[in-house]
Amino acid sequence: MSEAYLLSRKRLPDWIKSLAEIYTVLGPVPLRRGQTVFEPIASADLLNPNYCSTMLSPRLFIYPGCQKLFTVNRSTGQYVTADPRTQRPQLIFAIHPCDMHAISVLDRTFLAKYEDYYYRKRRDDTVTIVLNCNKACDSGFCDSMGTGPFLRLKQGFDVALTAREKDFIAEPASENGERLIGGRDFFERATAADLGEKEEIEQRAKRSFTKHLDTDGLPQLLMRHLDHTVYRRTADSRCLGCTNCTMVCPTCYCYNVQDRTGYDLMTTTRQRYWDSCQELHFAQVHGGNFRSSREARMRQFVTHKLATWVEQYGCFGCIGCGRCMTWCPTGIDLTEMAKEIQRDAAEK
Amino acid sequence: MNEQPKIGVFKYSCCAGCEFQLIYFQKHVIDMFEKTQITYCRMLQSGGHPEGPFDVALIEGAITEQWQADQLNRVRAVSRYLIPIGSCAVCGGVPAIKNTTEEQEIEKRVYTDTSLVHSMKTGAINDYVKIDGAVKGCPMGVRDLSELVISLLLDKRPEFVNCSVCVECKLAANICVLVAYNEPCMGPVTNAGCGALCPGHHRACYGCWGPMEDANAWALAGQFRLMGLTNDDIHRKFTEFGQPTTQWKAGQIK
Repeated sequence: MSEAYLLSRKRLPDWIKSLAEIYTVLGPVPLRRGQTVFEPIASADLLNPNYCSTMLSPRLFIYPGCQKLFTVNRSTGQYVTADPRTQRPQLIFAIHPCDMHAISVLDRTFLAKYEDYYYRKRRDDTVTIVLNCNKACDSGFCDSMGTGPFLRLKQGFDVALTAREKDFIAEPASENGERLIGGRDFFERATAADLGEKEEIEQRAKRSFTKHLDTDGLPQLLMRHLDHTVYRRTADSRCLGCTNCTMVCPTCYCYNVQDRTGYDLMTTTRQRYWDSCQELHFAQVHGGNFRSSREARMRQFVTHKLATWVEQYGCFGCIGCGRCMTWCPTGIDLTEMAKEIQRDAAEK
Repeated sequence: MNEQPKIGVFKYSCCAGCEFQLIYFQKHVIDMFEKTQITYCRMLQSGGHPEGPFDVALIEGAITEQWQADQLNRVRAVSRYLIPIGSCAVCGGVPAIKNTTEEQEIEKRVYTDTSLVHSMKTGAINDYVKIDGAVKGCPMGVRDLSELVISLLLDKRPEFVNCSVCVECKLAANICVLVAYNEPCMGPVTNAGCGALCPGHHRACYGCWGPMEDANAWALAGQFRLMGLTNDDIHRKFTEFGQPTTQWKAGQIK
């Protein structure tokens, strides 16, 4: 492992300022009535490093909700691929470990055998500075999913920060990360005692969780109980089919493409935008819809995140951030559904 | 399509805002008038050919009188495609609020002499004839209108917006007014297309685009009740637009 450094809280604005010279720094900014959003920041004044969670995860900077893919012109035969890159390289500051894990989960989809050009460009242009969580958030259960409260990834990010009372412990994880710290006089070397304290903070954070999910054997269990009544009951009485859960989920990757032709009837632009398995038309194919009931769509969401994802990508699709239940208008909790199935299976 | 497609515009019970949108407000008025031939539109020009035939008949407004239903049937017979435009035509809209009160009573409230009124229960266009799609909105959405006209010119199937307002809110990164600010937002059961206009201004959606397909009105009504709304409030929310629709029926219990 490479060196660890210390950054005094007082010098954080200096660091942000120097980073903003090279990058568009995207950091958590407080919004009205207790909400936080990731926004471009020029200085540390607006920054809220103690934020709990955001509605949309920072995936939208790498995989935007709506993205232009290409333009074709019928009269000239011209084909122009859209440039997915932002004007300046971007730096996501204080991204939480769960969201960082989520990006690594998305990487397994978009950067696997068939690489997604648009995602690759944005991903390569994005630097990530992770901020470990010292406390569990209200509906988070990342500890159970193995994605928090402290980052457990070894690569795929640039710097990991741990907040202490007076300073941050900064651990670079890539060459780029070293560059972000190196040559800046406000960083000091961290000692073994500092790293020991980091361990303590992590243990304390782990103890603060109130929400847990036992993932042992969960994929097999869910697949054995596909017809459990919990899906039908929840879908009928509470699920609105509004797709909020999948829109805020940091690992959801489905998109739909749409061609829009102008009134000249010559130029067509193809764009993609986030699609959702909770939407009725998602599974509409020639001849019918294979998930026409809300129950089937809800089962798809729960079993994909907690079961079939493992088979597909070798990890859970749920990173335990709790956004789907926080932003569900009726508060549907997928861990409660999984727990009900676990309870029923244990009783049998 | 070699010839310019012929468009007929018919107006029934409504505020005529959709027709205004078509001939005045929308961004592509000139493009549309150059590429198509409007053979009947009373607000645009007198005369015209109401007898058809039409490549596409655009129907604005809800059906509240018998003559409207009769004419609608005739229009259907001479039109290749028949498309309701705007919430009144698509889902009853504001004119259908009167369905919630007894007919005679509502007539007496407005007219001193009701002998000349021949109004009946308000119905949407697809309650009377087969429709080939719908341009939703109040007034109708420009995006869907352009999609319709361009699809007609290219002879392809139009792709109308058919998801909840929540999708547009998330794409626009609006903080959810229902969850975060406890506003009784109709977004989860309302068809998108407006670009999440009201939630974008921190206001609850009031459902003016009418129901989305497969909306779970019952569940949202239950949530509104938990949020402290009275049954009357909830009833009003689900009957303000889309009283005759099956999708919002479950939210209309008093």
